[in-house]
Amino acid sequence: MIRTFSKLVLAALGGFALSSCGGGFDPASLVQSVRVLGLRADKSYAAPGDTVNLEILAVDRRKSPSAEMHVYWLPIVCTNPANDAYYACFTSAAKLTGPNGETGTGGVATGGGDVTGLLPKGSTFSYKIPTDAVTSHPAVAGSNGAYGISIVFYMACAGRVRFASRDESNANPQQVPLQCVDDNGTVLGSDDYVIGFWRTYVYDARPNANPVIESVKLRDQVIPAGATVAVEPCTKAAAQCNAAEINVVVPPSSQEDKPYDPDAPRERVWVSAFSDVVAIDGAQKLLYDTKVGAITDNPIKLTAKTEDLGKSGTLWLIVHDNRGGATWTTRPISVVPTL
Amino acid sequence: MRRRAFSSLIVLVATSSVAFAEETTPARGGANESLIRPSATPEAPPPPAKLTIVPPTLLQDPGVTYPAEALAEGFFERTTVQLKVDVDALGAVTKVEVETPRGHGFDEAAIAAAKELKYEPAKKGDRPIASRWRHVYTFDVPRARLEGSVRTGASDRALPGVTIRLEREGDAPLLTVSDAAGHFDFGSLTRGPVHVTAMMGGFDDVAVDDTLVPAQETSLTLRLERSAPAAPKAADGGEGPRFEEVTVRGERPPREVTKRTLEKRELERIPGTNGDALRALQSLPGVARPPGLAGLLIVRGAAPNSTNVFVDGTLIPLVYHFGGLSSVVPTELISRIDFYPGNFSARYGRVNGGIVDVGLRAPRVDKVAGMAQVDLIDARGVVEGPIGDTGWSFALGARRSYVDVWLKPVLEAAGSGVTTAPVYYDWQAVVERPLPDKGRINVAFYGSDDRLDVLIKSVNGSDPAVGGGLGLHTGFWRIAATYKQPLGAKTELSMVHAIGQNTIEFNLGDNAFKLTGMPLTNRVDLTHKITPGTTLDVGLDMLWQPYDIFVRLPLQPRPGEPTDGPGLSREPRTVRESSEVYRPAAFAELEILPAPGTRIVPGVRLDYARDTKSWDVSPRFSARHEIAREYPKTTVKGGAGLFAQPPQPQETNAVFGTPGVTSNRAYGYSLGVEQELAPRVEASLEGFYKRLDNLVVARYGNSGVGSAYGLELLVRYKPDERFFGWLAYTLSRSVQQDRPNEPEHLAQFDQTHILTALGSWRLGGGWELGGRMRVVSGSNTTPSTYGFFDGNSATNLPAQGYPPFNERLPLFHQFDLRVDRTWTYSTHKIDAYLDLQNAYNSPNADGVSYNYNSTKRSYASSLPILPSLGARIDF
Repeated sequence: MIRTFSKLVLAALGGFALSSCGGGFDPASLVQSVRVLGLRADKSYAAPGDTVNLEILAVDRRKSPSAEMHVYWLPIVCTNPANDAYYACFTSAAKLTGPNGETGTGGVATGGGDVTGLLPKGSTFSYKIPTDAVTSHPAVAGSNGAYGISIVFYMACAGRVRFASRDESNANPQQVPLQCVDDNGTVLGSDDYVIGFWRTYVYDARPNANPVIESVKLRDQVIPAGATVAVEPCTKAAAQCNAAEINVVVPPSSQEDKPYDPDAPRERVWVSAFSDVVAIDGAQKLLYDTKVGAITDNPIKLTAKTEDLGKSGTLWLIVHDNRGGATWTTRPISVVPTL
Repeated sequence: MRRRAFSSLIVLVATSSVAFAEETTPARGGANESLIRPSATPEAPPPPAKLTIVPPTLLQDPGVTYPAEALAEGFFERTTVQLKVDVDALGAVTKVEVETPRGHGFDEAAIAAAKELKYEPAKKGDRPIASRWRHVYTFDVPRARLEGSVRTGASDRALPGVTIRLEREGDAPLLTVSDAAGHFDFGSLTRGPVHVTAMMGGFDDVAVDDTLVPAQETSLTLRLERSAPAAPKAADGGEGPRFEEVTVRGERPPREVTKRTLEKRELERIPGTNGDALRALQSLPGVARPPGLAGLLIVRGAAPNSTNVFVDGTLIPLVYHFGGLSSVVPTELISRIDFYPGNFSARYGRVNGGIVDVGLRAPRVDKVAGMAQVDLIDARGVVEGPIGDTGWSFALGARRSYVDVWLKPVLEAAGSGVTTAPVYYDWQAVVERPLPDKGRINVAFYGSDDRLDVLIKSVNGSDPAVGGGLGLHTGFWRIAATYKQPLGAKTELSMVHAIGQNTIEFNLGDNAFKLTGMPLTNRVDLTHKITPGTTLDVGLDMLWQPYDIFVRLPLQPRPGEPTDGPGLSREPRTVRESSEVYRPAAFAELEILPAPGTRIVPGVRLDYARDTKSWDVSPRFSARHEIAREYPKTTVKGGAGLFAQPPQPQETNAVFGTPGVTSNRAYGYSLGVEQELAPRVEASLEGFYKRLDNLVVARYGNSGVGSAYGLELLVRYKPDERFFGWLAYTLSRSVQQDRPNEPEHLAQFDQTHILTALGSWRLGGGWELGGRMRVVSGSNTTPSTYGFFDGNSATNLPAQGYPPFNERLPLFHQFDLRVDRTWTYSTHKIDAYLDLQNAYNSPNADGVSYNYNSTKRSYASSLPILPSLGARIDF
């Protein structure tokens, strides 16, 4: 009787687990297109007047690229848009300045012009925080002190960039103001571009350092920078595979205390893994919890299919904290025969 | 019923100035006036007297009544109180002393009666003298009375000439016959359990058990059905013809436009509900299907928090345990569920959706009984019975879920650390005793507790804040006292006072929410019959709740506003506050019966919300008229009213809401007809329209307007010995506009078509088979498409469809099956059952899953086939 019960429970749970997940999509960790995997700023929290140096990790893993991918930056800094919403930079009278503090007001012009040649290009972008970023921000009840927000926009595009016409009859405030098009002006699809933004929270004085990656280990063996991670193809059921277990070691000091916020005294730190070759089981793993602290025995598991034997690629490991701090490292990766 | 059942004995005793002789003097008045007998403790013989002493003559004795205190305490014994009575030379009583105190109010009653005694004074020779007498009152236990009527079950007509047999243990059966009006009367009887059977040729016998209570009248309505030509008899299992719901006390048409009341058998046996009474509500017209495992009650398209749930008049904060698999009050302790989907009485307020009022059952007074049930979801038990001879009875109930037993290993296998797997409890303790004149006092302690505490070691790709410590705790408890007592023949007082605690705690990563409130609710209801056709109902409905709240959460987007980052990963806002909600209300309602079959109920309710410093005046009106009063009965009904729902505390909060907002308003109208189609089949069709304005929209203010309208059809076969079932269909539309210049959009819980067909058959041999089919329009969702990359959280933010809820998921359809097998023994009954939800594993869509950048999508399915095997014993 009990066994029958157990079977019924497991059947029900199994059915639930399968049916409730939906999807069946390629995982986000598998990189097969133009992707932005992360950004890091030298000052993830800045002070008014600071210059922020931003770096983007954008990659292009399309199988048959038609054009080279570049990262373009909108040369404006949008400070304190309505409700702190990034999309309000295009619809409201947000404070807009140039990367070096040039002043101006008004929304971003739209209208279909090709601006590829006008936009700064590259994996880094520097910009200056307006000196009044904090004082010009409306007081926000319930916030942890006075702050401001400066937002910059970028586009990783395997084509040309042009401004998109705004449909004024559509009240949806989320209309994308830029388009990535090919040489014929045809709008490219989501595999060919990524548009995004980065917010810099501005405080008069509030520290926030990026986390540090101490080492990357494969089954407790440190993998030096440049050393290849070998992954064996799996010939058994997934649960029985001898997965390559990767541990990203981040020192406890990377979990900063936040004495100004007694209700959340410590940061939360996690690692995101991406690869262009292998599947990753649990590609985003918690390293430090705000209450529990260090999370142990929580590796990232890499598994490869037999048909991937001999393939090589890259493993990207990006460590984040919940205040915008980030850092990353990469390792070559190869699918090798089972020893 | 006031009874004068007493006897008296007067004994002359010596006073200091009077030689005494033992005399007996007849008592005056009372049914047992002739029962004059010598004192049980006669005084010593008097000494010889030189002068003739004439004892006093009793002229007036008002008699005594069995004291209310003894009745209230359940003290039912023949009791004698012996008094010393001083009588002056004028014959008046000057002093009364109790010689043998008895308590329970007997002494006070005897003294009060003795002070009213009038005498012809004692005489010494010809001279009146003072004297001291012994006066004894005997209180006989008042009798109960049993009467009633016999009617046809089909056409509700009086049945004369029916033999009524009354049986009780140790006594010979009593027989009577119903008169021309179908009425019967056994007159006064001693207290205790009785078994009453109505018998007439051509009709099936109807039997009912009841317990007679001293000084109370019990009125039974026995409904006889014509015998089937060849009614099958159960071969075994003891499932012969039975009428579980025969006794109808004071049944009358509802005062509300629509009041749906489910009977015990329906509550316990609706397939797909696991025998849970409150889940049965989700099969009624006007109630939408909640998404997935959400334990929500969605009435006529309104948000779940627009429907209030009461237990015996006391507001409770939640109906279902998490997952919606069980409700927080076990079916076995429920006597009734009254569900008002709209246009409800002025007695209820503070919401503009619906009202659910759950009545707790009075515990048994005849014996200790109970039940226990186990299944895959939870285990529960109830025990009840009398508390000695005190007149009090009790009921104790408890439930614990099993979800943690099987979910904990599943979560751990998925890599989560589990401190507390999902688990829920609820408990109930009730004591009650009847009061004279059908009054009662009831004290109930009940509550519920749901907990979950896990450590999620993975991080959600679309919202990195979803990971780490996840804790959830919802719970409440209440201590509620109910007092109901007629104040004379025309007035009745009803009071419910309750105090309790509500707790909601949630934490996920560094986001947290904790709300602890201590609600104090008082409801006083005074009903007075002004004329035979006019009843006034006035009352107070008070709510005071001090609370502590801590919130650390990002602001959620306003309706129609896209999110500017992952829901929980954005910069949090913090609120830490101790405050209070004080919302007194008064109501008055007039029930007018201008003609037979017509009922008009105008009413008004006045609410005040101190937190918003605003008053709400809510006039309401409903009417019913029976066009055809005999079978097949036809009734038209309608109502109109204003309903006000004050804002939630978070809606007036300076951080998460808009200070200064006032109550949401709804103008509700409904019109319908009820028609008897067959002896046990009735249909009702009702149209409703609700105009909403002044709706609180988060951080916009009272800027929202909307409407909800539709048709509800219910065709119901009322339970008989073989079958019950119904067909419910709702056609509705619920829309909202958040701000004047924004487009109107469908309400989140709008479902155009809701069709439910269910039935349950007793097959004989102890078997019962039931099925429920539901076909419902898909839920509304807001589609997502490729959007921006949020560099701070490293997530892809989707572009969200506009206006919100502009896509409907595919049609939902599901069949639930329930099979019961019952074995009945002389002392107990055992029931084994299989409740199979989603029997054909319909892959219903309950949401949409997207890939990481919202360029691909598929439907996320609802519950798969979910069997629940269980067993239950009743003893």
